[in-house]
Amino acid sequence: MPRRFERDDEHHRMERGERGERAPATKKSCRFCGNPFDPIDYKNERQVRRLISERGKILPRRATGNCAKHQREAARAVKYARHLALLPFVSEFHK
Amino acid sequence: MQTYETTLILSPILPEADWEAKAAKYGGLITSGGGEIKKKETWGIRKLAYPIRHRAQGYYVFFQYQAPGEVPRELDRNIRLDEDVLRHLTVVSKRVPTRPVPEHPEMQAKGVE
Repeated sequence: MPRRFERDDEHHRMERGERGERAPATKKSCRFCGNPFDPIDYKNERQVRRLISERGKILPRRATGNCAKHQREAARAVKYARHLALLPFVSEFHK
Repeated sequence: MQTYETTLILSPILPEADWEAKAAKYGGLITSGGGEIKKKETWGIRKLAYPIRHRAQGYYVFFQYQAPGEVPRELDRNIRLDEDVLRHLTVVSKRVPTRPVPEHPEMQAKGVE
């Protein structure tokens, strides 16, 4: 079986130093670079939904950890999906 | 020749027989223009993420086809005239690398660009 891409947990954990200061942020690796067989697809609603915020905005690279190339593809995919009404342009959220 | 993908959202108020008739009509337009349909998917009635022309649902049909460049242009022109199509999108299909055979684990590790 091909390796499933998994985000390294190490990158998420915020390690605290002795005086409680944050450890320097570790580089996240782009999840789409890790698996070229499962590219970003505007038709895959489940996948594209992960690229937007609760509000329906496109998540920035700092949140997704995508590389520049895949962030461009991701943004494109979200826009296609919005056009096809698979994703909302705005989602009102009710608290 | 390029490979294209076209998705149509048909009006949900059409009689059931018309959905397939419409899909067949546009499929026919692809083949008559010298294209070859590689994949046709019917996603059926889906809820729309936002209303389009006051409709909350739509009937989705998806085509993937290899065709000369005039085909998507002609298809687009025809779809625009059709009031029963709520929305449509044509894009150039992305080339997806095929998974290597599982007998070569080194190939998987390297991946295919």
